[in-house]
Amino acid sequence: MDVRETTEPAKEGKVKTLSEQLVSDPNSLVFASLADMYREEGMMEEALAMCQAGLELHPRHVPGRLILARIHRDANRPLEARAVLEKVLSLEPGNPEALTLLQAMEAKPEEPSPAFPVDELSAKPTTVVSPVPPLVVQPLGADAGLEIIPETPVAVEPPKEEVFKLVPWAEAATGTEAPPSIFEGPAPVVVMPEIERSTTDLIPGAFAKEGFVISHPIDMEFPKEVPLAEPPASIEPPLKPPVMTEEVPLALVEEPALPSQKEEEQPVKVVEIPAGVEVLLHEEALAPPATFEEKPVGELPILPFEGTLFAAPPEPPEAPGPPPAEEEPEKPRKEVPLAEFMKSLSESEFLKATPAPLAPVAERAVTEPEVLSDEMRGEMEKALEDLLTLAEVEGAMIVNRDGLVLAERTRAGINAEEAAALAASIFETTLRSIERMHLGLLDRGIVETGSGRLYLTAMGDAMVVLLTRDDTKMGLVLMRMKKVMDRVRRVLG
Amino acid sequence: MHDILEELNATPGARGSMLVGRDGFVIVSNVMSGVEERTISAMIATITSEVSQTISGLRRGELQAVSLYASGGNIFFLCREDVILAMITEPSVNVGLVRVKMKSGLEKLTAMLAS
Repeated sequence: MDVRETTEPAKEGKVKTLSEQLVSDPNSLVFASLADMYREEGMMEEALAMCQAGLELHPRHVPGRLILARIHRDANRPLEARAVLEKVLSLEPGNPEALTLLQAMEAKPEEPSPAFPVDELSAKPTTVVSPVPPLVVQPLGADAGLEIIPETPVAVEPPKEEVFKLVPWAEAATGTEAPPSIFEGPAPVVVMPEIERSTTDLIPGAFAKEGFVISHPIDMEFPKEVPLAEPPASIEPPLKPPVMTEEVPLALVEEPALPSQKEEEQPVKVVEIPAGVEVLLHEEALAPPATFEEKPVGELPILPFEGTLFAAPPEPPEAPGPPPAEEEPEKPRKEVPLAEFMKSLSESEFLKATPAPLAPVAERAVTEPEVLSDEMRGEMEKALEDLLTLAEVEGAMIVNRDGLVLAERTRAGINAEEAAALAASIFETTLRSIERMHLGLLDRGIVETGSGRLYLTAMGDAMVVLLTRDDTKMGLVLMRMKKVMDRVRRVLG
Repeated sequence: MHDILEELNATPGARGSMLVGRDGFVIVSNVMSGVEERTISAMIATITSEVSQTISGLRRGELQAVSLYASGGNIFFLCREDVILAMITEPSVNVGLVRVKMKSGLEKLTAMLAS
């Protein structure tokens, strides 16, 4: 991305021109160029406002995002810049400019943004006198939890160049300070506060960049009380509540099941952090959030345990194939003995009624595909015929994206099928390239050769292809083509 | 050469122009910030080579020009021997003016390259 303005007046003129363009067309993509010029002038607030406003209209505009990243970088907000670059890479993996910017930012010593609140908090929970700034270890998901164990000062390793800050989750969650030494007492239970999605999204990427690998304990055995995947709908609700007792914090439901185990053993994985702090991640914290659904942990209700609900589990194997999912909501699940329930089910009309709704679905599937009727095709060919009234036009056809002809009218010597296939090939190539250049969707293409021109115009899943001689009046052809397009569009609906 | 491109970019609605070799290497470029020079040049070479191949299948002579109109902007190529002059513009641009300017610009540029 080179800007090669040489003189100040030229730049001012450009800014003025671009501003005028943006005023006349607020949807224009020039906001990126304008924001970049503001950035270069040091007008960061204007640049930021303009860039953000533009990106709201064009959220997938990669150059705009790159400029936003530069603005953040120049405004000394590396974390925001990095977040924007991550977004760019998610939109366009391997974007060379984003990678270059990221590398450049890696090379510089990272200064955390003053706007990021973890700084003041981070100093407190560790009592270890460490020569490096405290670390931040963000968990992989919003429901993850940590335990923080300060190392002894002797074991402090030499600082590495990357800096992490330690987020005092315990403090954030409970409002109290973390215990000075966790070794002496029982391991504190750390409940994760609800984290904003955007924050958690960007940190795992940072982890990967710093070269840290947090092993996911997928090979570990989970206690049976904590189901890994969602059980079948019929038995899902009753299984969880008996496990959750009032004394146990919800975040660590499995704790009472393994009371004798120490933190260093089975249930946890140790993540080595180079600043003298060990962070222990519970396997449950790393587990997919399916167990606790999407809610913040603190809000999970302790469901009342009703013994009769256990009548449900044996049911699914006995229930016949297709209908069981619908049986559940139909019948109340409490206080009905299984045998009685099954009996009433078999007597009810529910099972007999189930095949009925399937029939109309099948019928619809058969009648759905629409065929281009002869009438429609005739109408399209008539429209193409009108194009051929121009002497310079050698052939006109309507082609689908696969290069197959829907309708065509050509003069002698033109192979319509060949032309259609080649036109579709050109269209596909240019369409992909245009998308990669972030110029939006291809609408029309004109290819000029030594002996003629090829006009392509997109029209939904089809396109109109026109072959003309070299000496045509382009404007005239395009005007006629537009009329034909309108007619064809009406035919195709 | 840079000045010639600068002159081209003075066309209202122009975002940038560049002279690219058939192999995709940029010979000279003058693009506004926000336009990714390397991506554009590579894409220009890709489109030109693929379209040229297809055109040869149609037996309609050598590729001379490609104009692509997309929702986010237009891109025009003019091919001459081993070089391609490309210009990126806003969607609402005077196409006739762009074509005329590009033709004269390319003539000047090729004359410079030959000398």
